Amino acid sequence: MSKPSARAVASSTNGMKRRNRVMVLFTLPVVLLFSTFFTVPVILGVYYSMTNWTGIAKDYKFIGLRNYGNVLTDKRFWNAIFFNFKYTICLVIGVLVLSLLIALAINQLGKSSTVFRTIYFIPAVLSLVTVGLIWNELFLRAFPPIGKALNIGFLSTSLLGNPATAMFGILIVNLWQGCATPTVLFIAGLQSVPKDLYEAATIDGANAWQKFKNITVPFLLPIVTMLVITTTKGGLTIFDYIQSMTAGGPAQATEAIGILIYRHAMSEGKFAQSVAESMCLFVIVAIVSFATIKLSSKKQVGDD
Amino acid sequence: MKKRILCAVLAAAMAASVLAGCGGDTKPSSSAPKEDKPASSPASQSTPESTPASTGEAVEIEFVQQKREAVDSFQAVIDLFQEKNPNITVKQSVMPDAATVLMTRASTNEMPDVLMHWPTDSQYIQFAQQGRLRPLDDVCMDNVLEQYIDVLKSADGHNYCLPFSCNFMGVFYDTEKFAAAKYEVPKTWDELITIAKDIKSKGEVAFMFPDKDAWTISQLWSNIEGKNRPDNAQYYADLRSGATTFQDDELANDAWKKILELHEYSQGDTLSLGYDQCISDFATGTGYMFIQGIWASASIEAANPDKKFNMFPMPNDSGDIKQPIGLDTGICAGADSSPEKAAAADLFLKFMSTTEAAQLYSDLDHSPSCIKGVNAVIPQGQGIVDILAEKGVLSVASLPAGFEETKRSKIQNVILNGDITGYLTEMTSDYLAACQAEDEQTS
Repeated sequence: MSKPSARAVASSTNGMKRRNRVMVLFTLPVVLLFSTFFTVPVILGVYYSMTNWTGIAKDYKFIGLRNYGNVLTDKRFWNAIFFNFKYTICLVIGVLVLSLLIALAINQLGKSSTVFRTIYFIPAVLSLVTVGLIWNELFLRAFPPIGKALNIGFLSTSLLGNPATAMFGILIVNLWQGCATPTVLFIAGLQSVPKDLYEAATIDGANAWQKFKNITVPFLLPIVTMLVITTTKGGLTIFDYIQSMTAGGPAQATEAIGILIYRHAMSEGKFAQSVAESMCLFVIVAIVSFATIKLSSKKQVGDD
Repeated sequence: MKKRILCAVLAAAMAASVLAGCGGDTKPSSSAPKEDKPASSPASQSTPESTPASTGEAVEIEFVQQKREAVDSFQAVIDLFQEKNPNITVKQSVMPDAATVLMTRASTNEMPDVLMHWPTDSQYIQFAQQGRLRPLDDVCMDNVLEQYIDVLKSADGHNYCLPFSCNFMGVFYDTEKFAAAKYEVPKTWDELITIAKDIKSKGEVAFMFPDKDAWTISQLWSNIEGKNRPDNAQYYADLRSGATTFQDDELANDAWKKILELHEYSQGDTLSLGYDQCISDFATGTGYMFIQGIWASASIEAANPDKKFNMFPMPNDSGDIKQPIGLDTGICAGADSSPEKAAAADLFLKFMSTTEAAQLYSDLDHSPSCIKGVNAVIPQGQGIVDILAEKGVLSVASLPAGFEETKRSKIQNVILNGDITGYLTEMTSDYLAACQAEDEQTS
């Protein structure tokens, strides 16, 4: 991305101008779409977050920053934010570790790896709500008997019915389905590592861990960066898994910020406040994303 | 430097996509009122467009129907209507989470031509107050039983919904199991607990509780409390004025103690079990009793047609109970229809209010009707139907907008930690906050 402009300097100014014009034309559709469907609604959202609109009423009043005051002093809002952070950290670590392990294992298999790749990819093509409903039944009817037989306390009742474990119940399902694509990406990454590097390392007497750390990991870093960013976003905006499995319960234990916004807007008659919540979330996610990109894009293959 | 700009752009894009992803709510909210203002002009444009096409021609009207258990029953009524009015097609739309859909449609001025709503639901009341529905005074109220007309008048004196059917709550019990164990239907709370203790001592489940669906707990609360205070209108007014609070109210505390007491005889791990799962469990033989409203009987029957069950009223301490009768379905007309669709909708509503249509629905849905001359036969609720004439009390008080949902989102706490006072105290402040928001909205 940073190279073309350097090359452009070398060419004549005329050519550069023409090139710039073409570049602008190329970006135009995206800019238009982005501003119509994102920027304008966001700006309108800022306005509506300062009204007392319920979503149903035909009239509403401008009430300034009162909604923001309500949001920032609302214990429910901070609980939801806290839940999202907790969940996101677990999700990012879970996705990276699990999918890397699966990818490494499948990559060792040689010819039969295609079969396993397919098997591990199946969850990704299932509808999310279906998955939620199936796991609901599994948690309710299949796992507790196993937990009781093995005398494992937390597993002898449904994970989703206990506020202390409900988050992990959702996390398990999310990981089960969410690891499929990252695994495939990691396998692709692993296969792009030149074989001769390993051979050279072997000749130099490197052990397996050293080879993994110094050869494999640098090649996988771009994928890790991308996964961290997308998974962080997925975690912070988690909604569908929770809605289909616990709907925020038991007793708000899994009330993520997305669920809270949805509830306030759709069923509790606080539409304007929910827009204010979205705005606060916007700021938080912008900061987190900036930090994530900053931290994870530092090192890539070739950099040192 | 370039990296930094890239970072900033990527971060902004990501944050924006977050808003897009989670905020299905954000966008409609912001685009909706935008369409709100010029609404009059597109509406007047669309009318001439459709008028020439449909004079005397086929008209299709949409009927958004929220009661999933009653889809077939309503369809039977619709079929009969279409037979008599061949040029009108009524399309019944059923969707999960209909309240959400209606909410978005209201905000974009696209209310359905006809809709089924719950006459005591706060969303319905807001729709009526905010001019989202058409008044039905001259359309279809003639054949409605007297007692349902005045209580349902909106603040402006109009009726915005045709009260159609009623419901009641009680305790479903497995008649075969009761007969086998030689249990009598309990008349007082102590008798109920004695039976529950006996069932528990046999290692069986007395009550099935689908506490995962928080609304069932909320209804259990009303079910128990309603036997002593069937009409909540005065109570809600006192709460609003501050004359009483939930935590100071004897009946609320008593009801909650009883809820927790009943849970000692439950299937265990009640917060894991959902409503649908519970129905299939009860229908296939787990548990002696299932505390629910009569609307569940159709689903129990569907899950197991051979199940033998009936209903008795939830007892109270003295055995001298009142049986609250709630309004179940009400039929409304949206305010955004074109004139010829509105005319067709009026015809349909008029037909719904006939004894013939209401009797057909009542026979299929097994529910008491609000329409004159209907004779309700409710095999699985006979235990309660028998006492309705003597002890039935119409219960139509409604809560401020959004409060019921807030109440439900916190209600599972009491099942978890047993802190009745803490919960009721929180409910009082939530109730007052909801009242305040409502007052601001209407002022």
